[in-house]
Amino acid sequence: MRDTFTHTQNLIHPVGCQLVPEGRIKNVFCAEQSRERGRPRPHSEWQVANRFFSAVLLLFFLAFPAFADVSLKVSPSRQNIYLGESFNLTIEVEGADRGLDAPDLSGLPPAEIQFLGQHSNSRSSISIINGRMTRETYEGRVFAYQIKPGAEGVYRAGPVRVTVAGKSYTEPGPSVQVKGIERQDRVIASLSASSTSVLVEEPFTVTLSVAVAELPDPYAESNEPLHPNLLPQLTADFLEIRQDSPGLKSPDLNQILNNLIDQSGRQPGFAINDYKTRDMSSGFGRLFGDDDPFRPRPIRFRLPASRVTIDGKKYRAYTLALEYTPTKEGEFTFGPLSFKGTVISDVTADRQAVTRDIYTIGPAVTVRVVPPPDEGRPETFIGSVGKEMQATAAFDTTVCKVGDPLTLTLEITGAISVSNLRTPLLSLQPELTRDFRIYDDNVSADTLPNGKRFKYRVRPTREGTLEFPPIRLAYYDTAVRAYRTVATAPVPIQARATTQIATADPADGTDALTGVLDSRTRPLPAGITLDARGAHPVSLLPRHRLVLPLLAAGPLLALLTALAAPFAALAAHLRARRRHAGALRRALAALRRTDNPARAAQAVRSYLAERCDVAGGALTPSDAAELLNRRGVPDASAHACRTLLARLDEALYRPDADTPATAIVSDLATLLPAIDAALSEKAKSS
Amino acid sequence: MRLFPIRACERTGAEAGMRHVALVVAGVFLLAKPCSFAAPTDESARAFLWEQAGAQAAAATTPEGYLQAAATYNRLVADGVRNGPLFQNLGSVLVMAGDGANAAAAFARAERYLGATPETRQGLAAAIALQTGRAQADLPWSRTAFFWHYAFPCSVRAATALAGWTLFWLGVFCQLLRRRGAGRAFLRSLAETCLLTGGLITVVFAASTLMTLTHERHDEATWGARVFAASASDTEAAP
Repeated sequence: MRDTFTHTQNLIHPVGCQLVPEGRIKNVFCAEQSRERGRPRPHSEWQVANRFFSAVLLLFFLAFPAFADVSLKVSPSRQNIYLGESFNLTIEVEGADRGLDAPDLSGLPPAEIQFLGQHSNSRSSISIINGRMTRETYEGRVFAYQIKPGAEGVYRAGPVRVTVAGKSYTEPGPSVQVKGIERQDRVIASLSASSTSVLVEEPFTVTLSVAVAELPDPYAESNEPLHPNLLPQLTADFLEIRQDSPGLKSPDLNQILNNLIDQSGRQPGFAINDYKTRDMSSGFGRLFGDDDPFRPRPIRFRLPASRVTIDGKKYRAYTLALEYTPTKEGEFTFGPLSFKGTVISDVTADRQAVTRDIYTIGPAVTVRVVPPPDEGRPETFIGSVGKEMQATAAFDTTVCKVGDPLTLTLEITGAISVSNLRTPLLSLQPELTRDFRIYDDNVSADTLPNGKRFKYRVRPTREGTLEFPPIRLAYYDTAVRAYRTVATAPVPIQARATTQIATADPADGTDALTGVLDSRTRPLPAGITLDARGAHPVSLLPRHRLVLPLLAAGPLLALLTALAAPFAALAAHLRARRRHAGALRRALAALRRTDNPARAAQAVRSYLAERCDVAGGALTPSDAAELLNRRGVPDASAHACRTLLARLDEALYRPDADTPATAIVSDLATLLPAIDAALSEKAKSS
Repeated sequence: MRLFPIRACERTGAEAGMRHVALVVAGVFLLAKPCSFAAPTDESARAFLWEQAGAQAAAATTPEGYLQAAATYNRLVADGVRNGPLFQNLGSVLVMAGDGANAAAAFARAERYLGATPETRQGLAAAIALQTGRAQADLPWSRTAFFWHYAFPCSVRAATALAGWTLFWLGVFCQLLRRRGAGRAFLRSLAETCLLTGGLITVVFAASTLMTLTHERHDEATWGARVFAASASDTEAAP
């Protein structure tokens, strides 16, 4: 029979327990004490000596791992990496878990080293075989680092030095092959822009191209140089789906990349950045021969391929063109583009593909968004660039008076940039201000689908049939790479003379008036108002929602207050009436149910109390007779009531007396209706 | 026996005042109802008419031109629009057209909505001057004596009457509480103050409001029969 108990260290030590050996022994003793708390303690010397000896043995047994040998085990996560990649270095200290300093990695060659974390690797097991206990203890601690070598070649990840209890242990460390970008012409990754210097709103195209050398004939005709199962990885920042960069209108990458996904999953393609599947979209065919069908896999992007020749060598070029439109001036960098993966380099005689790992980088391309040139820039330049700009101008009326405010609408349309289209300052054109005053500081602008609309406030300054001159507007024509000026058609308008109000000239004392109104004749009213509220009806009274509650609230409140007291009196009256009406019925019912003198007397007294509105619990026979007399009950009935109550009391307190209780109760049942009738009659008469 | 305190209250002098005030306020709002529910019309058409009238008034140089603007303003009135700016503009263009009587009536209606403003006073003075032929015309004495009737818009006076009404009933409420015995001296003082002040405010402002509503009702009924006439006697300038 074999029983095995295996515990991790955390299970052995409860929370808060010290990890030092003394703490462990202390806990063991505590456990034994608690187990033996219910039993009589041994007091013999032999038992005490035996326990001490056992404790010393256990102490030695548990402290034994401290004297074990310490060794280091250093292992990398990858044996071969490319320059720029990183690998994880795991340092496992065997034989020690406490009192460890962090490993000393100062002896490693130049690299970016990042500490990832550490954890205990200690464990212990207890085996009991036929009652014989065997304990095995292992102590260890694991440290993890991420290392990014700084140079290509063989990277020796060592020496790694660990100090345990003042003693130093050193491990030379593993070697990792770091591959640099080798000079090769099998794969050419490149990025190119349609123009490296563009204007605002001038679209440009960034083309990503990966040219892979063709297979030798005759395989090149029907085979691509990419293995369908080995996706090369393309990495470029600008292929990330994210928000548009400031000042740059990016294409819809989400839609573009979705259209490039190889739905069949069997064609040669690329993995781009970190785009991975989130479900089993790779199909059930992948279920077989794959250990985990649910793990995310790189999405297979099928880039359009074409055959090209570069430096006399045939390539299969995979390209992706993205169109961008800048909205602000500045510099925009695309790339670099990195290619890393396997390509088919050759085919053996038995038609087996020979693959080769390639890592190459296509240099970044920078596009500068510049303003139009200063040379030849007209004063009427409005900041826009594009092609075929058109401008129209119109007034809101054809007839006006001198000084009337007019609205001049200027529409600028065409295949031009709108974001940098500035408001044209018409007052800077002298011919426009010859007959008109233009208010450039109060211009409203509306954006049109293909341009902008500006509205100016203009006043004619002289009468007559006037012509608003052509408005000249200049833009930068991207087709001819030069400034061009367009002009609106002249706008005719008839300005009539206005009325002038003038008073007599006090200087010469004449009464000659030059206007139509004489302010001396009589007072004039104030000017008219153009407030738009004049077109809406207004009530003479406040809102009804306010009026009606205020009208009703006061009277209602007073009415409720006035009616509160009468209602309370009425309620009390109704309660008394109900009490009076039911008193006789309740008393007779009580008398019928009992021949006990005490209960009978209680029933009579309760009746009197309810009927006469008094506290009747302590009515003596004399009090009862007097009360009935006061309430108009005839003396005979009152006297009979007193007598019967007295006899009941006698029967109650003198059990030895010969008092027939049944007869008394019967007499009371006869007497009470007569008393009640007398009380009712008296109440009616009063 | 004091079973129903309201009876005792009715025997006091407040009984007559309460009934009177209630009747007055009820009459005010019965009269006000037709004024407050004008038939809805097209808002854009009214806005157009308003702007057109303004443009005509601004462009007018002759009494006929002002009369044309007045006719446009009056179309708005006929369309059910009543407000202070409308009647003020109407009065102004009528003064410019030389129609003093109708201008005074328009300014009087404007005051019902706006209260007495410098513009309405100036316009009314101009209209009276036009009617009397004097360069300087004094406004009637009643405008000073009954200043509250002319100084405040009708809506403000009605709201003041409502406040007085509420105050009056607060006094009644305090009176009822006092008769039930709690805080007699303070409640008596408060009740009398509220009854007197509230009743006075209610009577004064409700009467003023009622009078305004009566005049407005009369003007509404007769406004369509008014004929605006241009007079060139004093408005045309010498050539």
